[in-house]
Order: sequence, then structure tokens, then C-alpha cells
Amino acid sequence: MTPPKLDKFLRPEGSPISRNKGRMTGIEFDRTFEVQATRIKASQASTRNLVQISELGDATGSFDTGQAVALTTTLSPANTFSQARMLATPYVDVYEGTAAVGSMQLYPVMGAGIANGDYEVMSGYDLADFDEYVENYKISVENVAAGAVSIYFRTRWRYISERSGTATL
Amino acid sequence: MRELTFANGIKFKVNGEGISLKVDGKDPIKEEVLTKDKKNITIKKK
Repeated sequence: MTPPKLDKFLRPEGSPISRNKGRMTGIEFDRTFEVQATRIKASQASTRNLVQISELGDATGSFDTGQAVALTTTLSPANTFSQARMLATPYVDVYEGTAAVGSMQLYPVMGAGIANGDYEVMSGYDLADFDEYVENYKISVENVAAGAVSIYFRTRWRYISERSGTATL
Repeated sequence: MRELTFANGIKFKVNGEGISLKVDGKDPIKEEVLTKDKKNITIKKK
């Protein structure tokens, strides 16, 4: 049996669909045209406020040799964009005393007034607390040999949100 | 501002709802609100 002759669209010549020149199948359209977007509308709010900054949070108290304090700072999206992921960078610093005095800073740099070996500090992103919409960062300070002292934590977030809204430190 | 009290008598004053503390791996036994936190930055849609 002789196969039917095909037109340029691989349709049998003389078939109803081949004769119907006014219409186009999806395959024909894709062969003929390349669809391109001529413009993209981006939210003004998202582009203008792409990078946002949280309020400063702090904590102060006292602890003694042999004790350890762990601080978790959490940036949570508020209701206006509760189902939007954020990308955020935490800033933290820790001081001996009750205020941010450079010579008494013990993390992330050690000030001149802090004795070697008085503290052990660890920090990082804890996978155990991973959350799709909430950012967490932890810092832990163990008082190795500082005696009874006050300690002062500060934290602040820089973040990018998918859309405008409110984040809560 | 909140005041967190831990089992061994240690107290911490905290500004910011998103800050939590543990002492020797344990949560506070008492939390008292002292003043309302200044915590939010709101970006209004234009």
C-alpha cells in the first residue's frame, strides 16, 4: 500500500484539515511563531524595598563560671506575607557587661578587655530548626572562667522578602 | 521588654519577640512582660 502524500505540515494532502487554511493547529503555531514577552510588570514595592532591615533586639543578664547561655534570634514573616520565603542575614554581637562597649566585646571579635580563655562561643544556622518561612540563628556563650559577670547580646537582621510586608524580630 | 527567669535564679531582660534564651540548655521557668517591645518595621504598599 502506498503511503499518502503529505503536505509541508505532514498532513495527508487533500484531507479536510489540510484544506482548512484559516486555522492552525498548536503544532503549526509553535513551528511558525516564537512567543516572547514584550514587558514584565514588577511590583514597585518589591523592587524599591528589596532589602529591608529589622529593628535591633537585645538581651542582658548575668551568669557565672560553668554556666552557658544560648540565644536564638528569629526573623518571622508577619501575616501580610506569611507564606513567603525570606532570605535573611543575621547580625549579632556579644559583650561582657550591660552595654555595647568595644573593649568588652567577646564576639564576633574579642576586645582588649576580655581575657583569653574566659569564654567559649559558638554560633551558626541550626538545621534542626530549619523552617521554610522563618529564619533562625543561634549563638551560645559558655562562661569558662570569667566569674559572675553580666553579658549583653545584640541582634539585627538584614533581609530580602518576596513581597512587601512586615517581618518581626 | 520581657524578663526571663531561669531555674537557677538567672534573669535576662530581652527586647524583641524573636529572641529566645536558654541557660544551661533549659528554657526559662517564668516570663514576665515589662514593657511592650518596639519590634516591627512596616513597609506600606505604594
